[in-house]
Amino acid sequence: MPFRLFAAAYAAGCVLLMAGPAAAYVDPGTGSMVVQMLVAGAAAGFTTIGLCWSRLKAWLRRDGPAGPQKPD
Amino acid sequence: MTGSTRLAGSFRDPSGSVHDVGGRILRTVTDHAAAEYEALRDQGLYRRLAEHGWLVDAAEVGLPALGAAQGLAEAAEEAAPRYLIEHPRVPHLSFPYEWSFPLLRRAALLHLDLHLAAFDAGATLSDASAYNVQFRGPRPVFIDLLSLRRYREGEYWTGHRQFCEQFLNPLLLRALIGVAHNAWFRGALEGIPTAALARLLPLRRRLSLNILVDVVLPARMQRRALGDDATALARSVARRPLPRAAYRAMLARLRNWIDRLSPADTGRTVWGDYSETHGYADDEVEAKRRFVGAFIAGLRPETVWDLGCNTGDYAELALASGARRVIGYDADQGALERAFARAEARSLDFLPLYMDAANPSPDQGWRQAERAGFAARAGADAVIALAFAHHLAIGRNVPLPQVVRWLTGLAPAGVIEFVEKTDPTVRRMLALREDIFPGYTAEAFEAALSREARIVRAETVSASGRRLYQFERG
Repeated sequence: MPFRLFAAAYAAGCVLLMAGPAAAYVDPGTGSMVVQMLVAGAAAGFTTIGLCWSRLKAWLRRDGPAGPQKPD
Repeated sequence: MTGSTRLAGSFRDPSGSVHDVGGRILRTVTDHAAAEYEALRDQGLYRRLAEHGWLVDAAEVGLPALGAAQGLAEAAEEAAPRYLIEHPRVPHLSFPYEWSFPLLRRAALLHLDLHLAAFDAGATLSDASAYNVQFRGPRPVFIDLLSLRRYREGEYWTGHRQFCEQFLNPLLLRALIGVAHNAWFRGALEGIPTAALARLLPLRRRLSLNILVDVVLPARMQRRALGDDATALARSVARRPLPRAAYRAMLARLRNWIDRLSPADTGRTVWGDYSETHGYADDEVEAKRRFVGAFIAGLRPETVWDLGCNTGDYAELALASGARRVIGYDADQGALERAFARAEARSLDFLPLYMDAANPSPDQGWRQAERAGFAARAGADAVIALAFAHHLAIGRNVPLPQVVRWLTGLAPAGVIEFVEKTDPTVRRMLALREDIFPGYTAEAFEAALSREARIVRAETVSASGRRLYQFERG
């Protein structure tokens, strides 16, 4: 999971480096806060994707072939 | 107790302040921090971390002393304390610019280990100052229990920038570029700015994920945000909470990364191999060890300062001969790293620190008192300066009588080695330069030493004329 988070931060960072100026202010921690915001955003993204994925899996399972039946 | 008891470096945190009252270290806890303190105390976090050796011990002091502390707080111009806590005194304060690479790495790992343990118990650290870590021998301990407070769901790690500047960036400077952090850290005091490190990193170093997250991106974002509106970031932060797992992952990732860091310049240093390559024959080493061992055994000093400690041979001998602890000083990073490895591997109460003796740590910081200098922290019971004085007298042109006065002023008793000009080491030092040291003689050394102290005994310990002097001040 940590790797996923930071891979996402890396990707988001690359996008941000190409984007326009970030809405932020100058204090000694600005850079750190923005990076953590990216991590937070990536984590939220993963949570959403994870949720959608589990719903999709559940939906497929409901409509798919039935599994082996348990013996009585 | 008066306001003057407040330690000069204790003024930034409104949670309380630290006082030295007749040798006792007392910490006030103000209303500002009382609720946090009570919560963590009652859940036993301080006790558990202290039992682990990670956090300094803390004991609440009774109400009579607290009454006195009210006066102390008024004089110190802070809110009246709700609690007064006593800590054991750290035997010798040292600062990150005096630590070699392995000490700084050890301090960083302690900081992260303590933070992770606290985090799992529902707490976090409000800052990440390297000055909150001190060493007892080679073992680090966190000294500021009021930095700990309860974790708030969704919050960001506010100490991340400070952690990077005071721990990570100085380590990376050495690990990636091969430059020791000490001189820069001593000049900047708050550490090595991320923006500055980012400018120094070669392109191939910037491609790592860790470097991107902790150095390149923060530096880039900081620069990009110049002139932007402060409230916009605050709103964005409020809208996007940092999940608990992501916060913990940041700490764990940094811990794993720092644990793997090692100095880039692991080749030979000038004095790193001295203990194997010195010019002594085995019996001469034995004579020197006997002399020093007998001095320590006779005095049984609490604290010994070993100037030019090298890899710690004589520090270890001093401990084995009856010294309680040794603080070593050297300017050679390779030697200091080996000395620390020795202290750690053999659990010695030996703390090897970085110091250029011709330019010791000054009193500096706010009002030039925040971080005490080398002289202000003096207090050794004995000093040993073996194969050391000629580096000041010849290597740095300090007049010999001044060298002797300085060394004898550090402790009431000690052993100093005098190395003749005919010795191979001194001959090498003079090989490429003019000999402008007519006053550098054994006679002049003895005369200078006799003016400052009583010579208890002296012995020639090598064929090249190296001579040890034991002195005692009146």
